[in-house]
Amino acid sequence: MSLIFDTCKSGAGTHAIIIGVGEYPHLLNGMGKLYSGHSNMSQLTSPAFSALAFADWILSDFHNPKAPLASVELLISDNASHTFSMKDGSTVSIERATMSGVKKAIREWKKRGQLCEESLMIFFFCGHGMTAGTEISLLLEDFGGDEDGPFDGAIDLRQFHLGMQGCTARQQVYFVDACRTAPSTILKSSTDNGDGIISASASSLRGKRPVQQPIFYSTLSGQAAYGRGNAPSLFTEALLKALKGAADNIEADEKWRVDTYILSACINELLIRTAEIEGLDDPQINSVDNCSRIFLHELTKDPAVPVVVGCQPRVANAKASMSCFDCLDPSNHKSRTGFSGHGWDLELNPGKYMFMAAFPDELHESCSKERHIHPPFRRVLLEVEK
Amino acid sequence: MKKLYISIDPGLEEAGKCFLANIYSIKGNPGRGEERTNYRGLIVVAGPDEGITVDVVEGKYLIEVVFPSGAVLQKDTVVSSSDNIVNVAFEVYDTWKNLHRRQSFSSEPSEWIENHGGDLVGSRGDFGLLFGSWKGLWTADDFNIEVEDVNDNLEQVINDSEDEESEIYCDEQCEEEDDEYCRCLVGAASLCQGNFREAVNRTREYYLVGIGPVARSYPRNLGFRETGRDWSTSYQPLISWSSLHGLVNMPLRQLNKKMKSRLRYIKKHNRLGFLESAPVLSRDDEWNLQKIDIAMFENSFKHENLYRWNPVNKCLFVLKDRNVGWNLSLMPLPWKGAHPDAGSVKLYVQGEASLRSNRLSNIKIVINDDVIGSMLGYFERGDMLSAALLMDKAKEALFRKMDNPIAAAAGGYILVATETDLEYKDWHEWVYNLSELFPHVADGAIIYGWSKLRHAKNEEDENIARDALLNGYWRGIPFFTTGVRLLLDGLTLLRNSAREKGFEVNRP
Repeated sequence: MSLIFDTCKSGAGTHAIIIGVGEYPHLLNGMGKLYSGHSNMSQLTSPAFSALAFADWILSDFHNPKAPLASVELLISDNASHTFSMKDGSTVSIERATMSGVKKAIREWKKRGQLCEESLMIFFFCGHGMTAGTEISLLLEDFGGDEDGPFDGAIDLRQFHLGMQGCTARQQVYFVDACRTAPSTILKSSTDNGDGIISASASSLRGKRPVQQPIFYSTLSGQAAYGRGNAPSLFTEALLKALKGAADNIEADEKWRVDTYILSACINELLIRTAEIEGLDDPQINSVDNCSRIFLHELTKDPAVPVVVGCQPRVANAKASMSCFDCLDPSNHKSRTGFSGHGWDLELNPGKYMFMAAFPDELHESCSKERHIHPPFRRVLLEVEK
Repeated sequence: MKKLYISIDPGLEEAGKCFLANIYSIKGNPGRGEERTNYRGLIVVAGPDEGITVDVVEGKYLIEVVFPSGAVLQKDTVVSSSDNIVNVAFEVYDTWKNLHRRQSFSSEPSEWIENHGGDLVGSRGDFGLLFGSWKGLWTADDFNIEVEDVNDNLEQVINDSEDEESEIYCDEQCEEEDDEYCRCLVGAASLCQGNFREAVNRTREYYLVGIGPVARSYPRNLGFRETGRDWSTSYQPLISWSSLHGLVNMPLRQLNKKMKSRLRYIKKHNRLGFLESAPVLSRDDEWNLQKIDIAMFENSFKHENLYRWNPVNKCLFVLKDRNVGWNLSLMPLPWKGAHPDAGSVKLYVQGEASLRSNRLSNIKIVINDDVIGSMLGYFERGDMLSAALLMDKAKEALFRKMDNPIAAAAGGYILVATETDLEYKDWHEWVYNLSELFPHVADGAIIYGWSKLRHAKNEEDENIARDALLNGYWRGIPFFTTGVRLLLDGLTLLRNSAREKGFEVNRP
């Protein structure tokens, strides 16, 4: 049973399906027979953590008054993740992300979306992926199980996405946290990209308003996406941070809302920052297809805006005692603990802050700067002199 | 009323490009109930004296500039009672230099800041090299592609059975010679200027090749409505097309026989770039830095007439990635820019830094065209809202004059992507004109087909949509990969409708 949350309501609601695949029996180091076209793909530890983190966020923090959370499907293939702890303390078992399980769950998920045009559909996938041209395959646990039909265990994302055009719910958001490289496996497969699972026809679209279906990819076409061992992937980590801080309050009621447009900019900045800290040769750059504006989530408190404070010259970062305080409420202050050459990463609510850098060794002069913090993020550069 | 003057000191190679700015008015502390006025999506042109002026009231402001790559620059400013106008200048190059950022420029060659010497820490003189492994294929000078023999295209070869070239369409022969074909190296292009040949000789061999339209006239329906047969016959080439680099980068799926035949023809006739083997590109490879800089076509003909009356010699750049696969890029040529100097098209390759890699290189096509080039930058990244803002600025050029059908097609795709209701809009008629006026541009027919499909009220409307999409198919490879996806998607939806009605339709 993959359905871990269901309010059984028929009106506008948000229906989520979350899939994380880390265990691939037919890829390198797997427990099953090795698939000859494995293209050096092996087991992953990050997807289960990513899927669980996203599930946790949606069950705990997601807030959309126009489409309240109505259902969550969760499927994870991982040798450690068998149960999920709900907020009320109960535990539910997690179904494995095989093609049969995923197919059933996706079709049930779509059925719930058939109930109301104003519903919001959320799809999250983390695992191996591959791309050839417009075709994208998302690999499930049983990928490569059959040498004659390796893609029987993969979702054909284009067909699936197209099929969802027939779903009554006209707002759908897809998060695809997977590589988009083109290994020889998919290039040598003539037309097979996997199973579209859902299909739509021209006549089924008749009279329906155009569907909004942005796809948030964790990386650019042709590029790899990165995960951390036994922790959420870089993209999921950035996505969850952005969902807390990348809000706008441009509407008359001034409520902080996260929409698909502002979300993309914040994820991008956070991924670049991660690349700086981790010393990655090339930052992982997210991209979005079909990005039209969809209101996704409303914050119940002020956004936690990601802020990076750094010194110029950069070498001063490692020696600076950094701190900041809210100009309207000086008792609200923060200090950096420890010294890092990468600067100081923190989260602040919107407002006017004073940022300071002091140098105990007196090799540099102390300096301060007043800066406004506003979503989606802020970089503060303190120019210090020797 | 006070004024804010926002400018971008380009430091960018392409001054004149447009970027989007947001202004957040901050009085006291935002988010805590104070009165605020925000501006979103202001268009700022990079370059001296190109900034924009915005009326504001006294107060504090946070200003952002958003690049097509998604990179954002921010600045605080104060407009006090003594100021009439406050300048906010974004110095892009200095900002990046100070922050020492590994910026997303690495993924956006169009945003590279070139020609900045070696004063950047860690750089060897090229900003782009600091941040990524993109390499441009270049020539010392621009070269022109000759287009006089536009009728010497594939269609002619296919039709003339007496022509010795027709034998290359024999599938058996292609099959047998496949290996030889893949290894084959041919000399430099005969139809391009000599400087190109000289520039590339020290590394690899290239071609200039062209490919004609699939068919000069397009048969209608071909039994598709009844049996889906045409969908079946079109699916394989569509999958091959889906691997073509329109203005979006994509690798090539396995070559099918038809495509192999075409490439063989392309090699023989030398009309655009062909790189036999992908270079192994590493951060330290300076000698390998090259850039193909393709200038505008000669003005010996009226640009739009090429698309209107003559079959287009579509220009392909072909890259073979060792034993992994193929990259094909369809070049948006000829390109007519907004002004005489605009319109050059550049091509970059981002290779893997290892011979053992089993991944394809990336290819990026960059158009130096102020507003439309920027619009395409946002469009390519999927930021349709920003692209739509710039499209609005270019409305006159795109929709009224319509003398650059490739740019107009990009506008059409943006309109299709941002439409969220079923209300009638003026552009529905314009899309029909785009399709009819340029019968050699597949994108126009595809956009028209999709607009009809989306607004179909009955079967007759669906039939019109089907005809338009099939016309798109028969016109040949679209310029935009988005077009290939829409074509595949549209024909799939129509195929499924045929299935629902009980017709036998099988995926090949």
